[in-house]
Amino acid sequence: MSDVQACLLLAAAMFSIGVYGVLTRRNAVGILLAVELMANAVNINLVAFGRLHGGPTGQIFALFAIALTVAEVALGLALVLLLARTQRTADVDEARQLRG
Amino acid sequence: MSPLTLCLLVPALPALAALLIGLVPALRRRGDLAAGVSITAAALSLGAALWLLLDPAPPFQAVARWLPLAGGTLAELGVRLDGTNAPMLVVVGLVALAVQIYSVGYLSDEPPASRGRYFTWQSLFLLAMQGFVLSPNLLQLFVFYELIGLCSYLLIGFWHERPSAGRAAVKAFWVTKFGDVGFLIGIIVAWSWFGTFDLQQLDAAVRAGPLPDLAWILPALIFCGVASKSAQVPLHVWLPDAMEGPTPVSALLHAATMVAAGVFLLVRTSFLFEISPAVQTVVMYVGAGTALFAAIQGVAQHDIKRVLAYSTCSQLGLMVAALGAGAVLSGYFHLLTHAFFKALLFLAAGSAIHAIHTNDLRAMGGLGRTMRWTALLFGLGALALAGIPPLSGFFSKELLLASLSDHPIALALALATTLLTPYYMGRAFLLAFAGTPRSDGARHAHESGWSMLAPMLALAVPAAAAGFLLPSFARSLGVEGGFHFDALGAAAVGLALLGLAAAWFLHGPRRAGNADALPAGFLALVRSSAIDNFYELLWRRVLLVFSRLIGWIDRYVVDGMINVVGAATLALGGGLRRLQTGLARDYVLALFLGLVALAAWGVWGA
Amino acid sequence: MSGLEVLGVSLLAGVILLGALGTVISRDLVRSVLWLALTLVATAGVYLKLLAGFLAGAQVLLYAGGVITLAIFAVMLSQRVEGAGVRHESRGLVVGALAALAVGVVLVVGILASPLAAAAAVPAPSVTDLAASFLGEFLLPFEVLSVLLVAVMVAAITIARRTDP
Repeated sequence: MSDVQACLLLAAAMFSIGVYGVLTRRNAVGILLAVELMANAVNINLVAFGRLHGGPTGQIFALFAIALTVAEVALGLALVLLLARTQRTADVDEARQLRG
Repeated sequence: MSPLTLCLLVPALPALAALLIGLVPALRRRGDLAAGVSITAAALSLGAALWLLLDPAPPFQAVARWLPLAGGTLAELGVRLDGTNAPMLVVVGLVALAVQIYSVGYLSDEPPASRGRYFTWQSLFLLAMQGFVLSPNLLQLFVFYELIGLCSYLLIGFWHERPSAGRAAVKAFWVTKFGDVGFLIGIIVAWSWFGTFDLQQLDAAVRAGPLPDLAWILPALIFCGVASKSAQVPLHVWLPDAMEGPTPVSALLHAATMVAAGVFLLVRTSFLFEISPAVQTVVMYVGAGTALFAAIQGVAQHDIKRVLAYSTCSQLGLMVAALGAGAVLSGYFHLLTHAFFKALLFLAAGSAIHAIHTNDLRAMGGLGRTMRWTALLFGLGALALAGIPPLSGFFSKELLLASLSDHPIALALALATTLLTPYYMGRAFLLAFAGTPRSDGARHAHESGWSMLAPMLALAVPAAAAGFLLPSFARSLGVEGGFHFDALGAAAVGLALLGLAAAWFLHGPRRAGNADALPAGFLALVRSSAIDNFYELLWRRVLLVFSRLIGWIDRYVVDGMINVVGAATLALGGGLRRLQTGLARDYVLALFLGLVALAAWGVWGA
Repeated sequence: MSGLEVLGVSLLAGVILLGALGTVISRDLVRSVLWLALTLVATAGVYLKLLAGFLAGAQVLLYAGGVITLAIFAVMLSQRVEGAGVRHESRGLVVGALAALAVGVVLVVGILASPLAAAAAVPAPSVTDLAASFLGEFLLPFEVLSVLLVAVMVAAITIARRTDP
């Protein structure tokens, strides 16, 4: 297999692990960390495809993605702080007010 | 003024009065004003009817389309005037006017608003009755029949504060409604067989033939309606209780007009009864049986109005019997003469009741001394009813008996009735007006005012003299109207005198006014209310049980079906609701599963 | 690829996957964050392998430097340091694993099924090329991004500030 393909497979595995983390973690920060994993997997994908087609586009997008992900994490952690402050615990299973 | 206009005026004037009084509270609350409006309308209506009778035009019918049917007409509304119903219009109008004028005096103690209500119903009733008489087709007959029944209910229950009045009104309504169901089914059957409601067309169709196999069902069903409205056994039970209404109401509705409507229906549809001699025979025997049965009941009553009620029932039976024997002239003529003298009797009785505030014969006595006119008029009515010549009742009763001469059993029943009728009338007269007063009320009675006496006098004239109108009446009907005085007639008069003598002997002054002179056992038997008990049993055990069953079905099956749908929806909603756990994790899981599905579709599907 | 390259790449991949697993499985939240740091640094290595040098540098700076620091702070501030995974609900573990597996399988199958040529022959873009793109073709998103970052800053402060008197 080629370089690109190997990187894609790696990214897929990393993404899956990130999914597992999102679905199983109870602590809000833990979920955010798993989301980080997923975002990075996407980045690897972007760069790999950029390498495949040539040109700077892949890396440009990856840079944008990094910036956006950083912003998202910052905001997410702010929300986690608020959540923890409101319900006295960072356990997302406690936040079930939307239960039907 | 054209005959059509006059015809329309006859019911339209009281209709207008009813609307005015009914819809204008200011008018209705002024009882006297309401009475004036109603009486004026009734008088003008009578004038129109008289004009139609005395200046006869050829028979005509004018109808307008009422209910359309695909490519034709289902029902029409209109009027018909011919030699048959022209006299009836006048009789109804005259009795109604007399009763309304009488009511002013009789109800003088009532609050004005109640009187207003009374005259609304009186005008409504006059509209209903005249509309009935003028109807050209079965459907319109039925509509006005029902309206008459409604007015009866309203007027019987006029003193609605009395529970007994309310019950009597409901009972009258129910029993007549029961018979009317048969009538309605008959109308529908007639339409399905002949395609029309119109009386003339039905007559032609029936004569032309051929008739369906079960053609006898039609007159039988019509007779159901007749039997209930005209109080034939076993649907007679409402009539005695109907005496709860004011006496003028009893005079108008339950003597002269409403109960006569059934007989008039029989006259109008007589061509249908000629289809089946078997049905005619049944009708005849029902009539004759009712006549005797009611006469026996009349013998044992203490309430003067009940005596008259059973008497009405009995006389109606005789009319029905005559019509069952095919003699339209005699049945119809007796209807008209009976209207006059029975109404007169009721008004006279009402005069006495009004004076001493009780209906009970045992509390009356000696009223002949203090209430001369009332006594005289009551006596006149009683003699007419008994069939003493030359009063009108003599002619009509003679004609009646002659028409039954071919049917020995029915004739025997009728003759027995002819014996009992003068007896119970004599008893009533003697107990009320002869002898000595048996209560304070009777002692302090005084004659009624002219507002009540004048209508009574007005009715007394035709009660006495109407017999001489028989030839012109027969001509108007277009039949042979021979009156012969023969052995049967003589026998009838003899029986009448015998009955009067028996009354004198059993209840006369020498007996000091004993109301129950007949053997006690006999009276007890007569008074036992077997039929009423049977009806009550039917009501409780059958009808109420059935209606409870229907109610259960309605609540648990019909409503149940809806409720099941609702409950199922709620259950489904409740089940689906559990998907909403409120946990973000589950929502994300769903998201990812959707993603997997989409991706799989992208990789393999598309 | 030469044998050394293969070894290097496999090592890198192994580190990444190990770090990722550590992130999602570790019970101690701080350790989770540190495992993530390892993963992110290893990712920078992958970028180097793909001849994206600037990106690798940016990765280390922003992620290993910024995000990890932020995460450590957040963990400390949220006062509960267990960071437990789903200890008691085995349902969550199994379902989560299955879902993750499903996602992975779909992706892998998709990747393997598509024909992918080898890397293009063109040389990798230099920093100059990147800069030219940012200020040329992608100027608008670049400027919007800066506005976005300001907005996010304001938002984060607004959300997380203490409002009780």
